Amino acid sequence: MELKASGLTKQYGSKTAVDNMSFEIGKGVTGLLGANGAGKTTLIRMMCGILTPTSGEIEYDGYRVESEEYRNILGYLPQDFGYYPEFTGMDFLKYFCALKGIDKKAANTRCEELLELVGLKDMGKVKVKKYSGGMKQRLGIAQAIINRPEVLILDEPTAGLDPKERVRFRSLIEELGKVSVVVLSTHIVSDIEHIADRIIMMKSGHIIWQGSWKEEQGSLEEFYLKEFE
Amino acid sequence: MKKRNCFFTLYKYEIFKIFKNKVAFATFLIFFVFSFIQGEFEVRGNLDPEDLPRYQAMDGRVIDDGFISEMLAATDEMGEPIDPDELEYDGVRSWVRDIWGYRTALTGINESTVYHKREESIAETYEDLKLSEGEIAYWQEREQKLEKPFAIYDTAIISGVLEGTTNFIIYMIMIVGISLAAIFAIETQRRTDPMIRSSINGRTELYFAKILAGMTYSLTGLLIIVAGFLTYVGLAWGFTGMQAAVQIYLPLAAEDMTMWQLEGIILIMLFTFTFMLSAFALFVSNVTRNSLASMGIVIGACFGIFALSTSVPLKMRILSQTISILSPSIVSSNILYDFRLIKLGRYLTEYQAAPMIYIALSIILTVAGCIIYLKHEIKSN
Repeated sequence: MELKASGLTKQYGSKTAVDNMSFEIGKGVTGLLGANGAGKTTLIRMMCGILTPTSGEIEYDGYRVESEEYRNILGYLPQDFGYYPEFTGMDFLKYFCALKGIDKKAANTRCEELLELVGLKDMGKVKVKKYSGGMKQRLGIAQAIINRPEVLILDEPTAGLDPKERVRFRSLIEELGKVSVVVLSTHIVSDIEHIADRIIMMKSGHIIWQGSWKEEQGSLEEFYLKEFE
Repeated sequence: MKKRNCFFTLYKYEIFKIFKNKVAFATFLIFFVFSFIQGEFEVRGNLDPEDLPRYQAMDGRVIDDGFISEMLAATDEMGEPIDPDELEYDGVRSWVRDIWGYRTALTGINESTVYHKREESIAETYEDLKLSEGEIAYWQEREQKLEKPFAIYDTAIISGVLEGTTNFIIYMIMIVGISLAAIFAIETQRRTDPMIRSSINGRTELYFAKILAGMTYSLTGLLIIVAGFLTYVGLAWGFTGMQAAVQIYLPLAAEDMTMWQLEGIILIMLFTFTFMLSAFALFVSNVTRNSLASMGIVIGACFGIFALSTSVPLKMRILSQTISILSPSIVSSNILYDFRLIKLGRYLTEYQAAPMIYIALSIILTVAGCIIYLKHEIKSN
């Protein structure tokens, strides 16, 4: 279980969003930390195989991220979670079950399980347009883990969650990190400082620090603020 | 987790998305209601229903010397009925005047001169269309196989059925343009694209599920509209006259076929043109990823080509014929008047070649769309 990037670069015209990044991410929770505009979303899209790098490559256990094999074990929650307002929560999840290759019979059970897991059990038959912001985000999380992914990539997943939901969400991620490769992108230090086994800190398309904060001394927040001054 | 093909579940949800699009559904409903209204007025507009038996009194009589003499006895020199209330000879009178001309006196006409004048008019049309010798020979051979003299039938119902069916191409431009514009664009507009494209079945399977859903919606919609219209016309007016030779409605046509066969040709053209139109709308939706832009391009392109088809000079043979085939105006009974042939090994008429061209273009658009869809990248937030 290893997501490996080497010499990864993405340019949009003359702007370099991600510049020659290399890293290896194994099982556990990896926090991708950086201010808005650091290049986190571009990096994540390349990790999900939905954006082609200008140069360099990413592989997971020998599979290219564009491959079917990789997409089969990938779960992804984008920063700006999209949904179909006219679908019920249950329909939305069933649709994603089909997209993830889960057959109809297994899909029913899995959708019910997930609605309960994310606290939307009683909202399954309600149209998504009637959900609050936090409920939509929880539905997005359910969608991301619907296929029991080996690689779970979450881009700013705590946006819209209230403090109680954030705590609940962190424990869920911690659990998933025990069996999967979890990459969690955020600009909020508290989202990851206690659950990330490893942190990649980004600034202007570069890695400015990477490693396990647990091995370091001092406050991650102070270090982060100092780096971004 | 093992990958499973969930094509039909995806297809079901894509259909569901179309039906949840209120604008698309409302557009279909409006035109469905219009089809019944059209069923009523396409025929009623041609006559007073109470007079229908009198118009149909001569149905089945061959247009020979005897019948022409009877008609002339009831007609003044300029082709108007002597008794304004007489309706029985209206059909044959109109047919003769279509051939002879409306500003020419009917003095001295008989079976031989009328059919001879018809042949002269056909020859003039060949010249206007700049037909080659091979094409002229093809049509002359067909012409010789026609059984003459033709038998008259009242054309009120015939005209209603044929013109009504023709009008459905306008309905379909609107239904397809409005309803299918969102099929691919919705994923960009709803920002579901990133999640879809990172899913195992989110590429080729979903692309074809969307294509099939779009095609199902437009073709089933068309089938419902046509069936509604024909059922209404059949119940309200019947189909009297549809067994007539096409020359009764289109005097210069050289095809040996009945009105039913002509209606069949118009329906084939209508369905295959709608098929191509749907493939085009889906392609545009995939490329632009914007519902309004797709709608504008599809509807604009259809009406643009329609306008061009009437203005490109016939002497620019290849261009004018290409535009004629791609124009929605091809879905019309007048297709029997376009004598320009297409040589694909052997001569094919436009109504024989066009459906094959539409299906081939649809396949090309679908394959090209698939390549574009697979290469699509999520760049903006």
